[in-house]
Amino acid sequence: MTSIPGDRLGLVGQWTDPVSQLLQDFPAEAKTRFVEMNDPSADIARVDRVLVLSQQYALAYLPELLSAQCPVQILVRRSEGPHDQLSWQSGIQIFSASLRNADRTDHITLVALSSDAAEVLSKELGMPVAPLPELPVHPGKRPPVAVKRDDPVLTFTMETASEGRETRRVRQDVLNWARLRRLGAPLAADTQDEDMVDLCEFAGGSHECPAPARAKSMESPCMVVVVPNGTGLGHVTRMMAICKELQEAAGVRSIFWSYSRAAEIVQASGFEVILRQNAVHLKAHPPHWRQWETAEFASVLKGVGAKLVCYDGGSFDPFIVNALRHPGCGHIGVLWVRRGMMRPETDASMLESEQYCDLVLEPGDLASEVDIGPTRVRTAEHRGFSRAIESKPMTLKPHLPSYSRREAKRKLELGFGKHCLVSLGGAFGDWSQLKRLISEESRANKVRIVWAKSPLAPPLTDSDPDTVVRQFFPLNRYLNAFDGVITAAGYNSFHELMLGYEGPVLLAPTNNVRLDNQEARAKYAGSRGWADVITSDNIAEQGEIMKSFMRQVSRKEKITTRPSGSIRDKGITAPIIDLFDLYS
Amino acid sequence: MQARKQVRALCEKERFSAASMFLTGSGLSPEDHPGLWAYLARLSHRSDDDPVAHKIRQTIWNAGDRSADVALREANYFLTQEDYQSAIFVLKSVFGETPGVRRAWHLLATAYLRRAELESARSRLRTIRSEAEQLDTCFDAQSPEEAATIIDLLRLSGALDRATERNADARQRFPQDPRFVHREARILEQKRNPAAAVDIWRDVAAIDPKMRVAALFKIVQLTQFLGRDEEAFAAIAELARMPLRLPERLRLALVSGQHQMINSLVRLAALGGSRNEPLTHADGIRVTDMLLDAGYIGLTVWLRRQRLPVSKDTRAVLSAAGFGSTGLQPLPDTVEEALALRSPDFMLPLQSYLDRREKPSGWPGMRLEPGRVLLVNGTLGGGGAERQFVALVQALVADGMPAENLHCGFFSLEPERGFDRFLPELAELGVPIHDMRSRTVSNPTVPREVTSVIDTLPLELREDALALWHLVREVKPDALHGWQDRAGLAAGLVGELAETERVIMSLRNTAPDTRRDRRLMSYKALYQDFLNGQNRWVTANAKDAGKDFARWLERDESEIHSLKNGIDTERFHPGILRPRTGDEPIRLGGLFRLAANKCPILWLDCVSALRHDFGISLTPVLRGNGPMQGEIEEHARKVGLEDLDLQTGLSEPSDLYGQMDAVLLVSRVEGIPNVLLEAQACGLPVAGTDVGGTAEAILRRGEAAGLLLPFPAEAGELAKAVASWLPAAVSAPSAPRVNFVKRSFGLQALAGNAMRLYLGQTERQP
Repeated sequence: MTSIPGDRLGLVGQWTDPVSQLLQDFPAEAKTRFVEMNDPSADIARVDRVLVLSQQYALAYLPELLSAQCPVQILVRRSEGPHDQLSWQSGIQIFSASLRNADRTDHITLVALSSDAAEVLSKELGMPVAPLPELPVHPGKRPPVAVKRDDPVLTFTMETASEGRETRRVRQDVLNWARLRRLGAPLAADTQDEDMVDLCEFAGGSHECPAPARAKSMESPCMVVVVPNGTGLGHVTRMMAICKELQEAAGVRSIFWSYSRAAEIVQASGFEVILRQNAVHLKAHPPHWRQWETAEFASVLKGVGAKLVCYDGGSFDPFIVNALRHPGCGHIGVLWVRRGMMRPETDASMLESEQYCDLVLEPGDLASEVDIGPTRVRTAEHRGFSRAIESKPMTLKPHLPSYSRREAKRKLELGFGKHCLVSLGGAFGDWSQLKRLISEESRANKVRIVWAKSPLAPPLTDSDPDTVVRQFFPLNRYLNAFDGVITAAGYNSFHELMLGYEGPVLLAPTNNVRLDNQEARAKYAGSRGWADVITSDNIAEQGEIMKSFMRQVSRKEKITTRPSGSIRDKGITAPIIDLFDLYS
Repeated sequence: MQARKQVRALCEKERFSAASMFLTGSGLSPEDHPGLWAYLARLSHRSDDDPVAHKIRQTIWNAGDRSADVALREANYFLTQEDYQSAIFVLKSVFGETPGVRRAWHLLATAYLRRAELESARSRLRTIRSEAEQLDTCFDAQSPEEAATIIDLLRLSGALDRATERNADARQRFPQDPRFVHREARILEQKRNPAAAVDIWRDVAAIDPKMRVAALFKIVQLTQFLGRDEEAFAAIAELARMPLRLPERLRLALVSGQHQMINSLVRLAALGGSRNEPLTHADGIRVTDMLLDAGYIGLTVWLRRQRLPVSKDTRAVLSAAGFGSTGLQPLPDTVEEALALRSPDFMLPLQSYLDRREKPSGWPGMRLEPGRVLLVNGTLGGGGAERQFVALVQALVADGMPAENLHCGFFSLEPERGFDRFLPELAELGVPIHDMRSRTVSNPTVPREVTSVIDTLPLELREDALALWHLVREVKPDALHGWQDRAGLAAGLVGELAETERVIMSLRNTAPDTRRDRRLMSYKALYQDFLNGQNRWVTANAKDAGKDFARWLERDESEIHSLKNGIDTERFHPGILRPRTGDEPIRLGGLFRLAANKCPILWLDCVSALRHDFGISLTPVLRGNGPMQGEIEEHARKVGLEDLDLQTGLSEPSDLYGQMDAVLLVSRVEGIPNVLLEAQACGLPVAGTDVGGTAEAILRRGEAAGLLLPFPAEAGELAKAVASWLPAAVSAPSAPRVNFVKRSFGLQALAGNAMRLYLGQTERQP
């Protein structure tokens, strides 16, 4: 492939075709802009040259290609096996007859994936076919991966630090071949599939074509963080903590691709944000939305030169994986930040997303001892090339130090007296009973209640003039203003309180069917004496628990049983930075 | 008087509606004042499709005034509104079924034709023969439009001879009108003379730029049918270079079977077509209908999800098949997933799709009597398989099966297409015969479960399956036996839909990939599913054919049962031959379908080499029918076989073999070649290429042995082998050949094998 740096190469054919994905591994194409020509008759004017990915695609748009004003390369492919032989043979003959009788073909060259293929195809077509240049070999030892076209799953064996030799599986349609050849060595499982043999040989590269020396990039490595449309701030908080660590360790530029209304908070914290709307927001037809989102995401990944996509959430939306298969998106790794402590009944199939990833990072949980969710007790069937690591609990605390009590009170305009923060989740048995208890016991103990309003929540409709409502983020910065906290037991609040707060805490875990096992987390904290716990199933004891808790608040008691020590985990940056190196 | 004045005044101002109201309001009813209303009606219909005029005519019609003028104008109005039934009713009410008024005649013909077009949505266009023939007797066409209408009506009804006559007449009368050239080609195609049709379409493509694309598509279709691949490729290549609209380009991709081409064009369709040439609503419907008809149900669903328009029928089909918004089928998200979702494969295993209860092991067990059997084949045309069909029925009847219990069904027995060649022999046996094309279905209602399967099938299988389903519902057979591949596929499907106790599918010749049949290759999964059914038996007529099918289906060859051909040795015997005198040249014969897979050109070259290179004194004799007749005659002259004795349309054994001293076959594809069996039953020495079951069909030992020729081979190589065998073979005694056929391929053996299948005495392999 000969190219002028930065020129536009139009690709005619399926963008998931391995060849279109491998093109970016040609050193000469490093700066090329790959344009997927879904509408060749209109798109052909927008490109400097065209590569057609097979003779069949060429037949689909032959008049446009024959009249093109730019150079056109047509990649002639061999048969996919005996079942395809008849159709392939017909296609070759039609293609040959089409070109032979065309008025003008001087701008068209025919190429093949290998010298062998070129020789055979030249004879078949009765016209010259040149081999494509060879790709450079990717250094390092990689597991061989047998690829069979009609087997949707690739099965291979790889060495892992924890398990030794391990059999792994990955769906074939989730990998970009530019990424696949970095992670494994593809081999054709069926030698009768000549096209696959050619593809694997092409992807393997040639030692005669050395890899270009890796120049130290002047630009910061870039990571795009996808934030789903969650109801809480847990995803955003954890991701900001990781991004801050990476920024400090390697100057990593993090860009948030956010569907969450927390985008404002992220932006206020100094990160770049691309605010997105999902299909529900837009009332769009989901397949249309997904197609559009895939194309947009791929375009941004290429535009910012991302080397890593990071996702913090349950299951991956297909647009992420699909975008990574676009031509020019093959040098991007995937990091999945996946919290543990899922409810035991959580569908374990969500673990299958491990196959998309290079690294699965589980933020530590103080209650992991009682974790019986699928991340602890089940193993994904498809793990791909991923490996898993666990960090210490992750909060923003190390990066955003707390305000002093005075400063925090001033910022929250709370004045003197004893204050108890109440920050509850969405579902808790009898809500009105809990509110009544809080109200009664706080009044009895002369404690003022401050209701926390989530930055994501809609405006309050409660017009009670005595209700004190404050909106702030992150929690840990303002904790010194309060003498006690009543809160749900989500990952974020829980760890900020257990690792950075000394006052009494009453945990009121939500019991809705979300993935997070808050009850287990809260009860664990209760059993260790870190907090009091009020749950929807201990109605009879709720009054006593609330009374005792409010007394502690009133007395400004300090809890000394909570875990101590450094909560910062600088160790997590090294494996992530390795990914930036792998894909550079 | 006053009223008439008022009406006239209003009409002059073109206030027809007001005039109509005036008459109604004045109590001047059409019953009492028909003249006044007729006057208003006459003036008001400045244009026949004027709804006001129609309302007035309707009032008159309802009052019982059914004049010719009102009827003609109403019919015209209904035609413009695409309400063909009403147009037909109005015309027939006034003019009868054979109108004596020319305009009524033409309107009625037009209405019949348009109604057929409308009803043909998702099926082939057909008109009713009796209606067409009745109208044809009324008038001679005077305008090109009249001629075109009546010719179409006739040819689409199957009245091909009359259509040919009318078209010839129209070509003479309207020599400048190209429509009659096109119709001649279409009639030739229907009359199974595609080679001649190709020649006409070539001329059309060369001289008529407007018809070039259509003509090239026709050439592709016909040359593919003829097996003239090179010509088909050339025509496809020419179309590929032309700036076709997207639906046409997709059609090209479908006929050339290039999946990536289809994939790419469907993605463009999903965008609404090119920005330079957006798809219209009608284009969208055409694209989705075309894909559904070709079995690409996934792509149809996917395009619908991309908001491409689909027809009402297609929407109903998708919904019935579970691809609606509340359906149970998973919807494809990507075009690759969609491309892989093909019909009928998505319904497999069929038993699960139909939610059938699993039957106990061993079901359906053995029977003491075969019960009622329905034997099905495509046609009774002049091929070997059709001959074998008759032989099977004959054998079963001779074996004691009551004729009334042996029903025979055919997808078509159209005489003018030669589909009834063996009908007299079959009728003689006294079995009930059903022509599915022309029979009247007593109850056309089809249960939803059945339509949900049949309507999603590719067009060709859909029509067969529906016709057969109606027949099976009426005949209620205990065993359903599909004789050739086409009938076998339909029988397998319908047997499951109708829960027939036993289904037998007899495969012919060789596996689809061996014979390069792309259409049949697409049914591989369906065949595999058939092999899984406990009550389904798959048979082949030759050991090698069974092996070939087993290889293609990736199954053990023991799963394909043997049902060898049977020869009626009382019809085919040495007594029918005219003996050769000593110094007479050897009459070297060939009897085969004049089609590409029988390699007639190679046969001629081989015979020519025997005569010219090896000095064998011979007379070439050829019998058979088929699309290559013209080409064969021309080639024979070219290679010095001007004396070729070629006769077509024969069926009597003495006409077929009587003038032969030896038989040579050089086919590319064969099952068990009947010709070789029949020839040997007559005592003739035979030589054939080693394909399919030829080796099984030739006596291989002794001085009367036949010759097995290599294949593929050059004509010279074949001639050399034949030259060294032929003189001795024609002098050898004939009895060993006759005995060989009687022993291994007699009718008794055939009846016994078939009966074992119907009784369930042939064990199914696990």
